[in-house]
Amino acid sequence: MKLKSFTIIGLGLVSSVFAFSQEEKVDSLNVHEQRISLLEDAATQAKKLKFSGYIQAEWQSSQLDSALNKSNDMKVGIGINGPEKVAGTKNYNRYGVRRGRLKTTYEDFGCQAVIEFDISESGLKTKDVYLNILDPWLNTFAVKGGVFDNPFGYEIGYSSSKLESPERSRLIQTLFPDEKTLGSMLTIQAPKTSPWNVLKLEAGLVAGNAINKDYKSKKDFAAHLTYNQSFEAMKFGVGVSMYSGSILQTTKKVYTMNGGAFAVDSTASNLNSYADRSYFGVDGQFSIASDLGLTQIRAEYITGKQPGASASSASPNGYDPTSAAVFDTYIRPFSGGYVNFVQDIADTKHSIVVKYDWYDPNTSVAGNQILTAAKTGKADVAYSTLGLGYMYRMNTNVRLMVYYDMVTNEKVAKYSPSLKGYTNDLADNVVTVRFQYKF
Amino acid sequence: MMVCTLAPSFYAQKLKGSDTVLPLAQKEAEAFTKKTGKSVTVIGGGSGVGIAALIEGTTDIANASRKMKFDEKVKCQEAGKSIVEKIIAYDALAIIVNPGNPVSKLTRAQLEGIFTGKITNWKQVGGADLKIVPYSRETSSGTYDFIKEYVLLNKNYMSSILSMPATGAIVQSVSQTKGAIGYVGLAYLNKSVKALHVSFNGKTFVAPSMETAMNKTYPIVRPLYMYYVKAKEKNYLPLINFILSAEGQAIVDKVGYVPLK
Repeated sequence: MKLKSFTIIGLGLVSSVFAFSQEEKVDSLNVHEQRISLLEDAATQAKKLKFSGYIQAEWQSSQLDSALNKSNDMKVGIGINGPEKVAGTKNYNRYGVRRGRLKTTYEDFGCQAVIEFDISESGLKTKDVYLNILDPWLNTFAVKGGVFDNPFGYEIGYSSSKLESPERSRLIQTLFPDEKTLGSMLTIQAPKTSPWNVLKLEAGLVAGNAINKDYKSKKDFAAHLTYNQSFEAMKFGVGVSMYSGSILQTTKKVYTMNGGAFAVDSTASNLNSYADRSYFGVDGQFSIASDLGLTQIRAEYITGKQPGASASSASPNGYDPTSAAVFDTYIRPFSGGYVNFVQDIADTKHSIVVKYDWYDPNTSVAGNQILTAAKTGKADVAYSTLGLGYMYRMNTNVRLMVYYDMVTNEKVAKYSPSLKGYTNDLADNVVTVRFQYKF
Repeated sequence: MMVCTLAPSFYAQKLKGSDTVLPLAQKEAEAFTKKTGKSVTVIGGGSGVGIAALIEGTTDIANASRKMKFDEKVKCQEAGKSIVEKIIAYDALAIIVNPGNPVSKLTRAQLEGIFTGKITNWKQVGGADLKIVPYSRETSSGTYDFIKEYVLLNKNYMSSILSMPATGAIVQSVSQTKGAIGYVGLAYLNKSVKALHVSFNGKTFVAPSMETAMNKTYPIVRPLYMYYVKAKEKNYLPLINFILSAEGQAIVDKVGYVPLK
């Protein structure tokens, strides 16, 4: 009896130990599964938030002409001063952080929120601040609101971190300061599974005041329609753009070109009316991979009417009619463009760049008519720039650029204090040496 | 996404990408590890996923069942990476249907009609009065791209096609759905599905097999690739050379792919 009891107790103990160890194994497996599940959830959440950015540190040197004109193409540093103002000084140079970008993107359900800053020794500036909402039914329509790239042309939306020249073309810098605008935009592009995916339309109503507060009820309209096709060894794209906007006229005097000179219209109703700001552009891109390496050619041409001031044809950038000084409106017919050629050297990390860009802010007047034709001046001088560059892609993150801009200006017929030196081609070529770290 | 880790080690070489290449890569990796003691990790996800990981630097070798696309080459160039392409084997793509489907052969034009949505019922191609349920891989798949280019002649798949994340999922779905049709690599064929005879000229119908792939009578055959960064070639050459060797190519044959020679 006792033996039987002991046996039963013994068996009971053994089986409970056995059951306990089995339970332990199962529990251990469950714990691991739970841990993996938690980690997967955390990874999925973490993937929604992305940080990216780049730093461009550069050294620039510009020629100085006899009139000691500051270069239009030096983008870092303070203008010439002190010993640089001594006659006979041939050049000056500056260090600077051209761009220090930090971008945050949060994406979920096909929608995005993007915030991007530019940080440098000049301070902190806003770049992109927008939300983008993609329709969940057709995956075709997206609405964007906030501060974003103007939906016009190709070079505006081409990332500064990929740009093969130090700056965008003069035309783009003048028409679209900082490339950005405040507004809303609709993008229509069929999903990748559709044959219509090759077409993309971006159209927006924008404030037209760069990255600054909206100052007018009458919004500008900008649109860009593109067609892109990709093959195994090549890719090409074409696009057309239009911009239909306006600038507030703050005096009754509006100057337009007539018979080769500015003619004034002083009708009282001009005050607080709007001057047309209208552009039309075409763009094309072609890339081909071969044993020579990757070859890329891009070109863009824009023409239209640009309302500006007497001294400048630049588009508004921070205009506030409630506090700004008033200015007469000058409406100029303009044209300009660029051709950009990049050739990788076989499968090495080296590339050469050649870029030609031109901008004629007033196509109704030639250089030798400036100052002679009524009311023409510095804002009517045309420029062309031939740039030669070399790039070395050290690795995924680091790139070196060495670039030489040869700037040519239209020559004016006679001397003027406002156009000192412009009777000749100014000595204002610029060398840029830039390191970029992208992450 | 399938994961296979053999002799895991912090210094394991990572192969990522094509689900078509996955079974072959797993067997090659297993044999390589056994021979050399060097560990290898193999992950699926699709050719596009593998190539993206190669560009990002999160994989050593990208497995692909298609050639690199132009945009991918540009991204490699921007990242300062020169990429080496190696063909490691060939693969016959089988068009599969449910075993209960009486249809046993289709022409390329009929396949195009089915996958683009122009042919919607099996009776239109000599079968029963039954709705066709086409299955496809996702857009990140090289097999998806190859079928689109080679069988559909670059026409787009129908918008309502059922996209599956992995080849195994297509096999399972087709085996369970009477009117289903899909495409898988030869190595994934099993008794739960039926492979169709295919004709590109409308006259000669050929079933997919090792023999018909090798003698080139079966029309849907494509190369399988491995891509890696040239600058680190010496790290990967032992594995690549093993795969290209007689021993490695015997494994290709055994797994159900077509050896290079």
